[in-house]
Amino acid sequence: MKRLVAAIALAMPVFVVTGAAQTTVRFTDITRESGVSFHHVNGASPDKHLVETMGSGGLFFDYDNDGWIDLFLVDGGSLADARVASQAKHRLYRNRGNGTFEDVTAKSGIRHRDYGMGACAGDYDNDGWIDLYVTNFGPNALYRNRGDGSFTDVTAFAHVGEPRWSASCAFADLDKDGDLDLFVVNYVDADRQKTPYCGNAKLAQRFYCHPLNYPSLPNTLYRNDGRGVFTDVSAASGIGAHRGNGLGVVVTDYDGDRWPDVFVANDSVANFLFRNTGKLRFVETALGAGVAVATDGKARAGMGVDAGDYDGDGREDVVVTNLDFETHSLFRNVGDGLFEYTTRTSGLGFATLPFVGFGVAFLDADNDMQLDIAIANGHIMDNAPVYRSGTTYAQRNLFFRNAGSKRFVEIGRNAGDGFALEKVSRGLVAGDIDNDGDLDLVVTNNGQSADVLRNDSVRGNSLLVRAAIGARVRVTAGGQTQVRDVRAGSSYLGQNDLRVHFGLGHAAMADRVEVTWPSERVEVLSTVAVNQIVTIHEGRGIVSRVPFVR
Amino acid sequence: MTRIATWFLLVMVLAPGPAAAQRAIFVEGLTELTRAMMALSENREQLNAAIDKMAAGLDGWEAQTAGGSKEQDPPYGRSVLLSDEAAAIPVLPLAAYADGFARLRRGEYRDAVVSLRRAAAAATDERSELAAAARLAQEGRHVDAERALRSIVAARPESAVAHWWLGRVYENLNRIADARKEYETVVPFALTGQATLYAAIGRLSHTEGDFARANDAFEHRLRLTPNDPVAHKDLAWILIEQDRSEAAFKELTASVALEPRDAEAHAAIGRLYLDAGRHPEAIGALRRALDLQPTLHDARYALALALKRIGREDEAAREMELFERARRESTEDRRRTMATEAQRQEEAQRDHPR
Repeated sequence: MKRLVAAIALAMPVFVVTGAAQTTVRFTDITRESGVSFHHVNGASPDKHLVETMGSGGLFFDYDNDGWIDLFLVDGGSLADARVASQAKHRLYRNRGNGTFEDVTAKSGIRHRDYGMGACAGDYDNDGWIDLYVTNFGPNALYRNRGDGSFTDVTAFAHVGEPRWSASCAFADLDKDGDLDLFVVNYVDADRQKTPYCGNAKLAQRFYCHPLNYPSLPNTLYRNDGRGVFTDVSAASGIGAHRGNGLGVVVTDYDGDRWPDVFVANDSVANFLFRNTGKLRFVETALGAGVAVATDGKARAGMGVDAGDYDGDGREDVVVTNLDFETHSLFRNVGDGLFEYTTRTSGLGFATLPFVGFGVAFLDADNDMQLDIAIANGHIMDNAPVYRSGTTYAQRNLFFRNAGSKRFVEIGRNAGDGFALEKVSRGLVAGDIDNDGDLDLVVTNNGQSADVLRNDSVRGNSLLVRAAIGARVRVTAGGQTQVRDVRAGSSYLGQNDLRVHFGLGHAAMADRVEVTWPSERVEVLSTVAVNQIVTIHEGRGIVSRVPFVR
Repeated sequence: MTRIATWFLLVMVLAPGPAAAQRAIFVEGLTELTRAMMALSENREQLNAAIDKMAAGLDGWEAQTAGGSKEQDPPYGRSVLLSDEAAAIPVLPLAAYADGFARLRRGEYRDAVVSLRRAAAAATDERSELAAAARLAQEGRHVDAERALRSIVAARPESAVAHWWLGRVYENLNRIADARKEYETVVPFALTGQATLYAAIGRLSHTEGDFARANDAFEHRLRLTPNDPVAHKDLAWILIEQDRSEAAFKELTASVALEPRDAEAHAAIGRLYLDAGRHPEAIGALRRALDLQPTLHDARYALALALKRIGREDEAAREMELFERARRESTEDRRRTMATEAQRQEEAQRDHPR
């Protein structure tokens, strides 16, 4: 018996971690001075329509191509009250060029309709301006960026008005034909008029229903036909054959075959991993790859998802946020198309146990060349203490600092006033709003104001790379190679800054920058200076260099 | 209430050992007393007969050991009375019997008998009030039952039985913290069954998300019942949740040493091996689990992953297929159960509009 215990002990080395004392990570809540004044309308009603507690998200994108990321926030609405619904309004915030924002919604042409959920952005028509797709409980909307600060609703023309309840979405060139296709994650088939009674009627305790109370939905894949028109290829691609309760999506080439694959986080049923076999055909491989469920064989309530190489082995790993008492999930990519469930051995187990997680992002917050994890939390139940004693509706968000050796330490309580907030958080997106070389955060909150958190961490050098969606960028500096994919859609109902960020620690130079374009062409650049934003175009190398504002 | 009396029959187990005859008489009397104490109607004759039997047992023991004996210290031994801490239902006193029970717990048997006789003689309506409250609870009228029980404990704070019932009612009302507090209140009053109470406290603390308290309760329970495999296993579950894999592994190995046919424990050991990257050992433990319980489908998934990691693809595919089929069925079962429950609640809402 002792031998067995020793075996386990040897296999699980004990790490002495002093992360909290040593942390240099600080996020400051600058919502007030940032100019972002957004209060989410959730339309909470006694009918407990599930949608009321699920939204909403937001994203960073540089819609005006001025080199400063702007912010789009999705508003909810109301199924129960038309008057409340009329108060909901999406917001487009233009970055003034200093990390503060102005509300330009009125002249943007973006209108709120139905009940807003999430968004993703990509230049689907290759005109050089990033377009916007908004998901809804109800028909989704595609807004074409006209390049003059305004958008045109082209949903009908583009044939992308998925009418069912959609959640996250992602633009990606899945068939590698040079234009962006659109993957839309659909949640459940919930009746707009009537919702089941879940709870205890005798005690008048009504809760939001479990997703298994509703029929599941398949996801939708739109192929870009190249003339601003899409075709629904869900059935032909194999995507439509799988019904789930999808909430989160991330596109990642998990098996290294240079075809972008799609991971879908499903709520209370097994996750999907759609392996791209080329020609827009997909095979669902989550179970065999080890990411469908946890090792206990039980599906988790997957909400948000991100992919990133947290252990520096060159392969993208996957983090998924789940319900409380499930723990969030960390799947380490071990190669050969397989993942290892490392939630417990990584430090993400017990630390996430009490939290209902939504938005999630891998990011190197302190530029130490290791990916950390930020997670937005908030309970589903607005009467959480009645549902489960000891729980709260509002919850604090979590920050996991990468301590090396495949371990994380949760330091949220010591990560500045931005992480001291306790709200009903949903979306979380990362981006460098002030172009100073570190990643800031925006957190959206259900029925509450959104928060802008400026990264004030003690930081090392870094590099921001702007390249096409789908490009894989490898930066070698200080004897270490880091990998990032440029992706349009991740976390929960949102999307990060399209520029990929590399923390470079004390390295004074990036020795090598390698870009693998979606076309599979590989471009290598040598000795790139740190602390700048570089824009790389396929075949043209670096076309623009802008130093950080520090 | 009759159920409680029946439960009491189950919990009083005589520990083997010398002077068993005297002890048996004493414990038999105590068993009869607890049964009579909880009877719906007052039966003074039954109560007194039980106490007389206890006294007789005591007399017999003292006569036997008058000349001095190895067994004198401790007299009768707390082990006799408290040997079955794993009793399914704790043996708790009515308020009037609290002092007598406390003396029993301290081994003051002669004084205990006197105190119990006094309690039996005292007129009290606690039993009928409890019976009424229990009836409300059994009818599902939990709010009314709570009100009744709270008035009993207000008048008689030492009524451990009332506290215990209140705990059960709070559980039905989903008032987890309140239920846990009631069980914590009655622990010191319990003659036997403290381990059961600690198990409940651990379970409820876990539900509350208070892992430190849950851990403490499960450890307490394990100290009382070190040979109970379930106590080891319950502690292991909570240790796993706290990422304390090594400690969990120890508890699970202890559990399977005591109960080698526990498939769940073998499966949990297998999953710990899998997490640790020890795939051959994981396969061994998971195979054992499935040999014992082929329907433990969740273990098949871990087994398939472990097989896959060492390149046994065909076996992995077979296990994965079986798992996938079971998982789909299980999800559909859950859907049906939830739909039925929602339907039931909708009907209840129509019946009890608020």
